Amino acid sequence: MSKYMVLMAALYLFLGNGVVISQTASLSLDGTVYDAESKAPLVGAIVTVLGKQDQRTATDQFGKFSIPVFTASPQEIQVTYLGFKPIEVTVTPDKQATIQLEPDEKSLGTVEVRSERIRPEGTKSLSIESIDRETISRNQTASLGTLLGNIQGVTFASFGSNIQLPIIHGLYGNRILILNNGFKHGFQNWGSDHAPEIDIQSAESISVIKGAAAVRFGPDALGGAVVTESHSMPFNNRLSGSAVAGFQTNGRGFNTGLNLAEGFENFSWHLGGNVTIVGDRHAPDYMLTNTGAREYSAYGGAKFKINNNLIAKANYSFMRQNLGILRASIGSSGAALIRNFEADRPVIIRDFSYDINEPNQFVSHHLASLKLDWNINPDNHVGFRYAFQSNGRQEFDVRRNADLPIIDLNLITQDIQADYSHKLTDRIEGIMGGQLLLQSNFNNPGTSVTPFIPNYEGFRASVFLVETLLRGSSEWELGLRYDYERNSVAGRERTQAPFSDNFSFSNFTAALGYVNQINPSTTFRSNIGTGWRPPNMAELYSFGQHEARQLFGLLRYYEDAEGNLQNDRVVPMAESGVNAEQSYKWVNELEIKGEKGRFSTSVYANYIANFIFWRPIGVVGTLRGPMPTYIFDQSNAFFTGIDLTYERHHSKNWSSKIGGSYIWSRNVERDEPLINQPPINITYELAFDKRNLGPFDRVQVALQPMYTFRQFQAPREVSIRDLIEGNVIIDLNSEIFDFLAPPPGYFLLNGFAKAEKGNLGLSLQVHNAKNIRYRDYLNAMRFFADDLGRNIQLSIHYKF
Amino acid sequence: MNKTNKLRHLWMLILSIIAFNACTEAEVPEEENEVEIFTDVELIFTADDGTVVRALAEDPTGGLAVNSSFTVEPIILKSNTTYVLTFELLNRLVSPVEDVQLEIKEEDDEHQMFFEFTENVFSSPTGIGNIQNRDGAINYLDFDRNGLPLGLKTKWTTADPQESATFRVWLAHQPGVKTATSSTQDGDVDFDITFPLIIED
Repeated sequence: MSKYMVLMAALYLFLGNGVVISQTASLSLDGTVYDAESKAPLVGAIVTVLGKQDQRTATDQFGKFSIPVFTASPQEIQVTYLGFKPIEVTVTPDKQATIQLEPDEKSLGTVEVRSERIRPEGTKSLSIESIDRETISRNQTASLGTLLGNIQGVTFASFGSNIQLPIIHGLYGNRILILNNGFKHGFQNWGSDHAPEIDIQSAESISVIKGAAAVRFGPDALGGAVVTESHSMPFNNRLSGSAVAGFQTNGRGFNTGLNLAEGFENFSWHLGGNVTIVGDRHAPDYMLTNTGAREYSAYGGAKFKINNNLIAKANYSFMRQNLGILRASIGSSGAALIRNFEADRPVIIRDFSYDINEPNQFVSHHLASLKLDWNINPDNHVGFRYAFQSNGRQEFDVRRNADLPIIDLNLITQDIQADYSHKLTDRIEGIMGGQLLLQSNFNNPGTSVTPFIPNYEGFRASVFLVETLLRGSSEWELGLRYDYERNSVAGRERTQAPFSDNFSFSNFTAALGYVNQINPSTTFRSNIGTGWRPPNMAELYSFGQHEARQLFGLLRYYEDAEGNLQNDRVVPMAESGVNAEQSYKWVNELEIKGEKGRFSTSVYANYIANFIFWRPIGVVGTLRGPMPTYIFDQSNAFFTGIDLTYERHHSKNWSSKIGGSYIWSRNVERDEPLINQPPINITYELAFDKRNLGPFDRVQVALQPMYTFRQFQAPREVSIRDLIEGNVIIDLNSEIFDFLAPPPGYFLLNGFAKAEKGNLGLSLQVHNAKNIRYRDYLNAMRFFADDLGRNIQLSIHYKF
Repeated sequence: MNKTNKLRHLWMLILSIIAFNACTEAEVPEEENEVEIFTDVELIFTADDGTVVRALAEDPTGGLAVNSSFTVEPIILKSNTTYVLTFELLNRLVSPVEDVQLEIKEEDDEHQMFFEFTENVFSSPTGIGNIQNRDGAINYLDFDRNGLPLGLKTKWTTADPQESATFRVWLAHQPGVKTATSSTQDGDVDFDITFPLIIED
């Protein structure tokens, strides 16, 4: 990309100066050229008066141009810029024209272009890493979590082979904000067993902001944010699209998808859908019974140009998932569960099947949104967005009434946002905005179980302001935000007696950022900020057996005078010592781009007061046998770590990339380890990329070995057997433990190959090529079975 | 309608959504009947002469407490006597108290009671029961709609006195998997309780 920048700059100097010298006329065609998506001015766009090749210029550093003309009549000009669709517009001399260029989908292959384009205001001092369309489409059946795991500093926690959620700098769950097409994804974001229901194949790009991006995005972005962008629907674009079909060996899965888009002068649309069906996966030595998945998605959108300054966008997406969970992870009795814990192989292994039985999760998600973009003038822009989301979740468990869901929830989310981007002076620009978020969660009756989480009505109102000050080669960024949140909760106690509670949280957050372009190749970013997160409903009110554990939320238990845990009543929030999480995070990033390579590192420290986590508390006796029990707990925690990436081009066709991340975390209040923290991992990629090789237009091959270390910061191990036999007695003040020690480190060899000819592409992806046996510390299924064996994925795609 | 008017309508709509939602109180979810739970599992041994011996295993919270525990009473039987074993299976957490046995009878093709006992405590059945080995002898007196044993009613003849025997009862829940050869390894466990067993002179 930098090469093109140099070229553009040269063109600008050459053409721009050339025109200036010959300038004698008093009239001129003036205007500013913007990127229609990011609203950023485009530097170096070529503006030509149609039919007069000598009358042309390039836009300056503010995206402005001026071409002297000798007539006052309107003239037609053409504007071209690499990576954007050329546009022809009529301009009247001596009137300022605003010209917006639509990105050209086909040229937007590189990560750099995309990350610039989607960079939301107010996060400049935090680097953004993106995954482009090509990588997304190569991973046809991957989840959002696994896909993001390729970014340094991002890992994923999984609940078996179907449910993965991203972890940024050791934080996950609802500490990571997932923005689905600009809106907080309204799903049951609690526990490690609920992955965001987003069809990543519908995304144009996916980006990760590692840091307390809380000022721009709000309380849930404590650890960072994941932003998915949908199709940009450019105007003046002939009917285009793509079709894919794929097959994978592990789980004998297949998938197919279709995307279509077309743009006219003032109207454009896109449509698409995907189907994925996977059967039982397998570990190297055995079947992982009931790990199949079925996913169907459909999405579409339309964009209207109401007038030159006002653009409206409507989007709708739907996704339905039926996700199987490893059968052997569920013991309907404690005794059976312990049998599962102690077995070397899962106790239930059946022949391969596409059937999905209990335990499984059945989810459907609708998202309908409306966006209005009003460009008042080149420096001021108003955006208005509204989204309605409906999320239905049914979870089925192995039990006497297995046909009844054990959890049956409907969550309605409404999101209203308005923001105003402004430029106060040449050096100060910023964005201010407000947001309203309304959530209503309802338990559908008929589960024959006390609701695991109560019904609730949530309301949140927020305002924020981010201003950026340019000072030479550096930029200062200041962000302020205020959130007020109110919840009304109503549920059932163990005895079915009703309980209800009302509570509110409010918080003020601030962030200070600094970006310095030290020299053309080196950028330094630093961001210090506060963030907060109120506890979620599951953390407060979890009650009962869920998946493989018996869980009790923060308000579901208390310590009596004798120091024994009791749960005969639900504790009102006002009487409890429960507080919102409060984070103080400092992230420093250094990026050095050279001709032959790129080095980037980020170092961070994050102190979180009142950090909420779940931990085993022991084993309780029941008539079904002993049952492992977990509670939610709160403590002050500290996280620090480093992410490193180094890319190098060895030759025209060969390049490699090495990356690693390390996190050190500690419960500082009790001076003991935290549970479920990502271990150190190192990844390497050796890639070969050549155009016009043999019969192909382009061939890419990559080898991706990776090593994940054993988590040496894990809590001590106390076996279920020792707890049952009374060899170890646990209470609230005991040191934290886990039922099993962390698994050993493991080496995985992955790779991919891709060949393109004309519109056709063929790709092959291999995961765990050596078919090694391993268990991942952050996979909740590690207690019961090995992780996935070799998977070869073949897919064919056609673009037109 | 002019532009300002439209804008005003939009704001009115937004404000009314806010006002409406900001004040909404959550409604209590409907009461659920916790059918999965046993709080009382009582074994009732009735001798030929009408003598009744009861032994109760009680889990007052149904395993739903953060500190759950349960108590098991010993079974005290007379030597060389024939008993019919029946059960009382209750969920006391709901009101009125639920007789779980009725539900098991309704789903008799999905359930089977398995037993395990110290060798030689009974003269009939002999052996150690059918928990470890599916083919171990048990005198089932009741059968499901498919003619397979159910076990809510069984017959036991004690042998000579013994002080420290055990008697284990395992109710297996086997929806769709109960067959003539299914064992405790199939399906799931509704309960699994080991009672101390004393055979008196």
